Amino acid sequence: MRQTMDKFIFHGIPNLIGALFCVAFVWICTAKFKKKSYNDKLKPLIFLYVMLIILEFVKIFYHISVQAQYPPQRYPIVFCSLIMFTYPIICHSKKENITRIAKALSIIPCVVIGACYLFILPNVSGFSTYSFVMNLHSRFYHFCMLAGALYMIFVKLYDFRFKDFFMSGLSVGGYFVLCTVLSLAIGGNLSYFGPTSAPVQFLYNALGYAVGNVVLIILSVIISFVAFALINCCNNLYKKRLEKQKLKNLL
Amino acid sequence: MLDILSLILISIFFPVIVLVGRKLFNREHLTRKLIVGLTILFLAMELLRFFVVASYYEGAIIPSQDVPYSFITLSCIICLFAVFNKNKVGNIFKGAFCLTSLIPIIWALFDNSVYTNALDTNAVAKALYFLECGTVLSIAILIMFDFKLSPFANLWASIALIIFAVLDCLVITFWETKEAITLMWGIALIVCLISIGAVYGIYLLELHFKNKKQNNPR
Repeated sequence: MRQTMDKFIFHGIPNLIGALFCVAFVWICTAKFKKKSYNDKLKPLIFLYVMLIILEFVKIFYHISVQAQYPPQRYPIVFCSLIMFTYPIICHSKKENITRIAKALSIIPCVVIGACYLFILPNVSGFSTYSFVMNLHSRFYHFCMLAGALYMIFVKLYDFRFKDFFMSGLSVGGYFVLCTVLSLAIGGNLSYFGPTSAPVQFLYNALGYAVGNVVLIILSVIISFVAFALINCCNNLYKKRLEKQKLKNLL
Repeated sequence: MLDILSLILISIFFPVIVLVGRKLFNREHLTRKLIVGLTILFLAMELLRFFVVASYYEGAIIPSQDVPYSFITLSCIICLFAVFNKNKVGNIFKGAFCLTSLIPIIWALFDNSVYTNALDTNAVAKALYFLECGTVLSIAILIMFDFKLSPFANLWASIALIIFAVLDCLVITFWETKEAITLMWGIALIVCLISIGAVYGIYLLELHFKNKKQNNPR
């Protein structure tokens, strides 16, 4: 009983706080900004990315001050840090193509990672469990990602185009390669994407590190294709249903 | 088994990604730019593979049995001649390159020593070989789409190329490494020859449909 309570305090409470923040943020911001102009809609995103950067600095200070070390696994070159780099592009870039790619890049990975954190990781995670503060920080960071993605979907900041899957998949792959190369340069065995400490270790063991990475890049394009195709199908079905309803109302 | 699966996966999906990109961003002279870009990438990857393998040995001296020389090296040279030579000879090289584009994959399926190296713990050279297989296939497909090739001259050129490659292989493999000629080696050679015929058939079919489309625009 005691152990269950401990587990709940350690995993459940941070998860609950993060999830509540996510719901509250999406609800309030959607209600407030749905009918505003494009530039106004970007304000919550600016708030989010500033908060993510602050959270990143908090993490660095916590590691250096409390734990007296800043291990390479905690450097902001992991997959989840992607969002910290894409939101400023979305908010401040004036080139439409780049903004579109950044939006496509931030929505699908964020929804997937956020959903993973919500349903899977609290029970099975082996990482972030070494301190309550870092656990809370990690949950909060990932739910911010989910909140940003859901907000963008709800206020229609991004209209899905099937064509975008290509650049989205390739840029995820490109970011992955960049992270891997940086990780290897910093210290392969310590970094998150290093050959011996990655979440996709089974793939590296089976195929070899480099081949595993190439397969992951190809998989990122395939996953992106499947996700965009599904969203496109759902959108088309929804539009057809709306048209049918309009016809019925007219008749 | 997993190596074979990843080889097939990478060499199929690399051309697919390239072709999808070509279809999505259809601009003027995009195919030719892609061919040139991929050829430079192919050359860079081949050179990198040699350097990567060399870096595993002390003093970067590779023992003769471990030199990463295989049909793909020959393909790289032919590709350079094919893409950057605009004469009639270049056209023949283009055809020969297209017809022999499946051979690096088939050779790797039958003989894993073309990409494996015991010292390559991170599998970098292996990944480069797989990517090169995909690049060869994509360049070949793009050349087939873009250029008008004379099929018969290409067939003879590719058969001459295969004979050269076999002789080359005999010299390198059996004189240097003293490996015996196995049944598997013979089968691999026959499958390679069949693959030339298969690609030739596909190419003729493509020409047939192209002509049909031109005669009957509707």
